[in-house]
Amino acid sequence: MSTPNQPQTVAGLAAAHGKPEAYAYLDEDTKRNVRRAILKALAIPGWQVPFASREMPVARGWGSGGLQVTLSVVGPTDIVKVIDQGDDFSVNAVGMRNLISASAQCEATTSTPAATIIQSRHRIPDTDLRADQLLVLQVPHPEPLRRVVPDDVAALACHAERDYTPAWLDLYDAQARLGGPRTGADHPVLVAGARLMSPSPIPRHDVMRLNQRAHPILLGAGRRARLTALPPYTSVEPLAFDDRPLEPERPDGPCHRCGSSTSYRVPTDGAGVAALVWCCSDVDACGARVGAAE
Amino acid sequence: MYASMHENTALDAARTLVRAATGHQAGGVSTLMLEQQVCAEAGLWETAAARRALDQSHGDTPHAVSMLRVWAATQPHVHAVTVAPDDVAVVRRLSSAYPEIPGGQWLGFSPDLAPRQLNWSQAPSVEEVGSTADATATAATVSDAPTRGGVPRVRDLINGVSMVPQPDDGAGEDPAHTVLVPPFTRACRLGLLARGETGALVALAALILGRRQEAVLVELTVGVARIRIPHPRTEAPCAVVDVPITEVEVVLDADVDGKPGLAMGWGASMGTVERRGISLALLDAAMQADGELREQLVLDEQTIIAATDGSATNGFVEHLRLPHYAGFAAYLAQAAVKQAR
Amino acid sequence: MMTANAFDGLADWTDGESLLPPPPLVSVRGVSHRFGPGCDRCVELTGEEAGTNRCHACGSVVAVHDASFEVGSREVLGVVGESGSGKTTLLRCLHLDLVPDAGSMVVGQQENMFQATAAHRELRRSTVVMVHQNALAAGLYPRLAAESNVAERLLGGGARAFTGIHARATDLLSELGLQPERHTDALMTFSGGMQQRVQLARALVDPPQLLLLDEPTTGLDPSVQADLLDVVQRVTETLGSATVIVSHDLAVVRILASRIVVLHHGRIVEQGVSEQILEDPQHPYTQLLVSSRLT
Repeated sequence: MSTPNQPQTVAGLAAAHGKPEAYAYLDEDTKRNVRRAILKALAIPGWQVPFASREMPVARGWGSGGLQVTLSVVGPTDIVKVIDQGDDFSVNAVGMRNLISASAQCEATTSTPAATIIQSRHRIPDTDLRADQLLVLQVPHPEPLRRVVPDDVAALACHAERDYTPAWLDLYDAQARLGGPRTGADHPVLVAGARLMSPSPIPRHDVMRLNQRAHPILLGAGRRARLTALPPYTSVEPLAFDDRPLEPERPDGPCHRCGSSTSYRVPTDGAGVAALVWCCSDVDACGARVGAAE
Repeated sequence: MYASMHENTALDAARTLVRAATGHQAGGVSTLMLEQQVCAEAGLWETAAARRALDQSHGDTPHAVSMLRVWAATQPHVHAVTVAPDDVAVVRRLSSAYPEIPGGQWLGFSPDLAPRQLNWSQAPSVEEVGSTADATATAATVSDAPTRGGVPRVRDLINGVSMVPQPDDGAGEDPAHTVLVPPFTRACRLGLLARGETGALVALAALILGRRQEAVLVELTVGVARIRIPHPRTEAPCAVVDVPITEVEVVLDADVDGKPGLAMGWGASMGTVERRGISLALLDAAMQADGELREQLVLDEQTIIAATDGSATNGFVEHLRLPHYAGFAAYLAQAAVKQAR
Repeated sequence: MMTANAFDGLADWTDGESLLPPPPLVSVRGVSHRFGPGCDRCVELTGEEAGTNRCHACGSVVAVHDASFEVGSREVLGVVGESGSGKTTLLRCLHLDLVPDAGSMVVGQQENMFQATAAHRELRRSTVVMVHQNALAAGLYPRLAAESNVAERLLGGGARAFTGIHARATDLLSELGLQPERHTDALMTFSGGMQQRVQLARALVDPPQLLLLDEPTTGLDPSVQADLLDVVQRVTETLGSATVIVSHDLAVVRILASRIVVLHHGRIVEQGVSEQILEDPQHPYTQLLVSSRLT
């Protein structure tokens, strides 16, 4: 990874000032701050590490955290893929992919197996990733206790003492009253059996695929300025009672494009068909299956 | 003193001198969105008047809004016919709830693509690259633009989950003419909020988003509405003006009969400032969702700082335009399971 | 009638085969606590003879001084006194909310209760449990279901099997008079008396060794009070816990307590079997209390 030397003289500073952007958009201080936060987060899996989140040319709430993580670790030999709920071609995904590849002078791709860094909003690619790939997730609300504990200070006390009674209580209440947890996406998980973490609003189908993955996962929340990390082969279990395991979503139809009945599918309007049909949310994986079938 | 009834170079030079003395920029600065915001907050659509008010208030937005309202109060009022869906030409339409929707997703000119990096290499000009506002001005003249009435509503696609019943308590009154007293009907409430200050609307909507589990933009429509008034003699509805409007529907998670369901909120704002429409819809949905078990809003340090962080609140409210298909499908799936029990 | 499975896990401290009477479950010795700077004349300037608990030399308040008593298993001790007598401070010490300046407490096998500050939160959850005047003061969750509030202590203790927790919580609530169809209703939809029963169920779902009751019937209608006292009486007779009830209402204390301790200006002025205290009070303050209560 090439890094420009920090100028040592005023004249050097003045010369550097003329450049509109540093390598990979962020200045070296920010990159250093983010990398240190990443290392700390990898050392304490599931712990929210604060970092100095900078203003990014992507609005807050649009993935500025994930973007800062990617920009801090990307290098010119990387191949970057950016997806938004599984779609490479969403407006925001395209914009961020262009920003990253232009400012880091690296290649971009839409193919999951070809990428070295995959930045994703609210989905984990259906294709299993290899140990040499990095997954960066965008997180809107990093605090898993946000709805059961009145404020951040109380939440920090819960994490420090590893006392997650409010979360268990909420789970019990939902189980007793509704027969199951209320969460659709963003079901909290226990990392290494001890720390409660928000896995970002990925569906339950993906929450159940987080356990013991071969590659690291970094989660960046820009608006809230927190970073979380899962090193490879970490135990990640959804918060659930021993006799009430988490149930994944069960779409009642195969994908109308590729025919898969195991991928994560979302309902959509099928042109010309009266009722809703199902389609894979992971566009690249679906396309690969269609291509392989031909 | 030299005076003249005709335009001449001397007058131009004098004008330039005055502007420079009062700090005006010689070159034009595009205030397209600001004018629309001022019109929406004043409840009056006249961008030329808004520009003038901004100029005379030296860019002080609340001052300009009140100038516009004062001026509107001096103008004669004519009651307009309720806008029919067929009179609204759709310029931009999207849904974050489903990847494909009947009638198609029309991103139009997406404001999301406008770069956020300050460009110092070109001088500010009035001719901006293009905006939805420009597009709306021309849409009315494009005859094949679909009408709102001709395009099905995305909310009709949602099934399998109970919705909070929509209150139907009558048409509203114009807050500019009538003194409205609480408790308000839903239409009156929407009418009052439609003239709300943009920053306040966004801050409150962001607070709601922060507390909710699920918030999905069902449909956002930017269109041009043809306003008609009855002809003074023949009573036939005659078109008098085309006003750009933004109409938004959102859903929030809500308990319906003790089970997880959805509350649908609707909001509409004059102009194409989309965050206004999204915030109004969120506020409407929140008022239906909380019902009797009203959540207390605690004004502590964290809440106040979070609510006043403009880049965070605006970004978060606008991020509802991003796809939410995966999370929405997940919420619908767990709600359907509980419905079946 | 109590069902066996509702009160599992009590065998530990029920009577063994020994012929000797077991040592008292709870033993409190020399509890003293002062609010304020303090001086060496505080003790002599406060108390019975001084007629105040405020030291006029330094301005500090001697809330409690040298309180000692014992409570046995299945015994109920009543602590009476008016406001300012020190009963609230004493209760907070027993509940480990406050570490007193002096004194010691032994509960069962656990010695030096006051010193173990790090584990106080855990001790409050497992060993010493308090029932407050009302559910909100106790920190219960008004929006959550009644059975969820009851299950909270089990969840906090690490129970992770839903079926078992659910069974125990609902059985207990049914025992205490809540209809099964209402178990999943939000706590705030219940009347005050019923909320107190939920609070009691929460305290008993994992029976503690020391149960504290802080004015549990205040604010309730007389008939509701009577029902609640009936329930508490059944509970204390069956469980092996030691119970301390603090109240200004002698009628309540008379029904529940077998022994009474009278507090005045922070000192224990009289202690003994409740019939004796109430029929034949010796200390002038006790006489005043007994004679002034409404019959």
